[in-house]
Amino acid sequence: MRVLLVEDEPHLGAALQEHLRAAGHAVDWFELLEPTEHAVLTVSYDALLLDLHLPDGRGLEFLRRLRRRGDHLPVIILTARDLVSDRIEGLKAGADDYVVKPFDLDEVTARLDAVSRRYVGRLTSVLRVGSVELEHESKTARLNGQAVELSAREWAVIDVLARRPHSIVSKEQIEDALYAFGEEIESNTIEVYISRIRRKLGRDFIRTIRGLGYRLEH
Amino acid sequence: MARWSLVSRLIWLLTSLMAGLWLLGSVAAGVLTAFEINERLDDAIEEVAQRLLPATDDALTQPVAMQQRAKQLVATMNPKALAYQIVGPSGEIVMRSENAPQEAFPIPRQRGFHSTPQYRVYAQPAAVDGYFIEVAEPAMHRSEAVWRAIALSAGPLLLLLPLSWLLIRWAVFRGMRSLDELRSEIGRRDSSNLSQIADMGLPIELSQILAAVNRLLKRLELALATERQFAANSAHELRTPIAAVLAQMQILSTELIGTSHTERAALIVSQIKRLGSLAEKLLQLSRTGTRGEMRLERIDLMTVLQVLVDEFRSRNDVGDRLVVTTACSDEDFIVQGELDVLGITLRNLIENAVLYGAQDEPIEMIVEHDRIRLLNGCKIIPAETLKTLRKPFVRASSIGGGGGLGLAIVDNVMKQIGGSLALFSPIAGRSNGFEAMLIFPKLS
Repeated sequence: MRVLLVEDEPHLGAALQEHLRAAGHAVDWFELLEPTEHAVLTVSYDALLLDLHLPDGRGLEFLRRLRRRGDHLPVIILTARDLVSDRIEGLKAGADDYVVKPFDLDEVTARLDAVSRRYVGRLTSVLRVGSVELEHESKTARLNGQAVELSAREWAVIDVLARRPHSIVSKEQIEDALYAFGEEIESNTIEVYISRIRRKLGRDFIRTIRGLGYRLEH
Repeated sequence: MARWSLVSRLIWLLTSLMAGLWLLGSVAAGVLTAFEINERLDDAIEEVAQRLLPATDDALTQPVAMQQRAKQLVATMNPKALAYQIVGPSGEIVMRSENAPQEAFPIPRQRGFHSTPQYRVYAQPAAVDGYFIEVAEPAMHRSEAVWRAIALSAGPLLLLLPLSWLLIRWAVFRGMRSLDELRSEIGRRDSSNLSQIADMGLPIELSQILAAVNRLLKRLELALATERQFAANSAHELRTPIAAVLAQMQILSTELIGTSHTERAALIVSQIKRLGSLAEKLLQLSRTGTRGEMRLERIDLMTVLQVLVDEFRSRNDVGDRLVVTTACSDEDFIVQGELDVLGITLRNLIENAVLYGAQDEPIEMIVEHDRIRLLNGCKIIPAETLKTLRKPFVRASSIGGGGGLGLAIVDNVMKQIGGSLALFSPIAGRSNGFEAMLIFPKLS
């Protein structure tokens, strides 16, 4: 997933970015609302982690603006305000979840996955693709019932494809979801990951649609 | 000591002052009247004596005829009328009115007024040397005249006194009506209503008080809002660095997996989490601490419960373990309190069950018409321990890692809203477990 993180506390932002990256997500991190506004207009994100108190404005106002213009980006609020009224206000403004600081980093990734799953319409956390079973909560894949070890990046590629199980996903879309701004990408990186996944889960698991991209083969 | 009423005191004071002034006025009027009457009557006696002067010669030359004539003149006179004597040099009576005593008046033979117990006498030398004309008025008649005059002047005033009391009473009550309205409006202001009092067309003196009260209400509302804002900001200022430390430590902890520092790193992470939880509880305790600060609004507790249950169910350590049963028929569960404070209360109640309840047993929340019961599995808590759980920093078990403040917060808030927290172990009808019951007061 490509995640947009808005957090003005540098140590917390850095730790979150690192943790999410380790979980296989591409993370663009901003400390202010202004660059965030530009980023959501130019990049297709899969989720937004939004702090409420930012030096140049209130996160809730930004969220309301986002929803007013019809943006359905999944949003999780990260805040130190834990009152019920704050939570109700946040959810009313259009947040999908609300995580109160201090939080466990694993809790954030779990919530991120849960919110993301809700958005792509998969109510169950298990997706079956041929003889492969994908369990999103534990981020494990099973081939014929046997667990297969995947790296975070490999899982991230599968996740991008699994989000649109019947659609073709272009190489650029996968790159966008995997790499944040400024990250170096080799021209054949995606092909390398696809190849590795096929080796582990079978050649037919991902189908290449020449000139267009990739699709999970059901 | 019995409290006094301003109205009663005003009525009493005004009536007393007026009665006092009237009394003083009446005494002055009486004294003046008596003085004037005495003066007029003395003049009358003197005048009579002077009119009798020409009769002195006749009385001396033909005493029998004059006495006979005097007898005829006074036969029809009121016995209280003036009496006179013409007294000779040796004190013998030459002539007297019929109503005068047969003996000479016991007064010195000198010109002027003299008083005896029975008469007020005016003596004047007659035209013949050595003779005196003495005209007397009965003292009884004079005092009767004086008292009648005093009664006529002061009597009506005394009769008007009860009427004036009624009028004062009416005027005071009417005058105090504005004060009553203001008092009633101020009385309606409390922690749940700090709204400004509207202009009621009060008199100048009271409108100044109204303006001062409104300024005070505004300041109070601002102070309470600032305090709440401060608590919220403190939470933010305190939690954010703790969150940063925890996040950084978790990253470090992951990097240290497989090294000799793994265990220590995990310990630090758990202690930071505990620190975060303790800071949160202390902030909650300060937020819910003071009785007068809570706004008493009508809150639908079901909305609060819905938010909290969703929150807890999304947690990895709770999920579907939290089972909610609604046993009340009404859709709304209205209580009086402050939304966020009730939220803190219910959150602590659920958190207590999550922290100290058996991990493999459900947490049951039962919502009844005036109460919320939270049941969790655990070993029986001894009755002595159960009694102490409402006190801050007391825990039933060292397992769970709570700060021992949760139930203290719950108990404090329930007392503030007039409700109560009841604790049971084992759960009724079961062999073990713990039940916390919140009983809410009936809505006024």
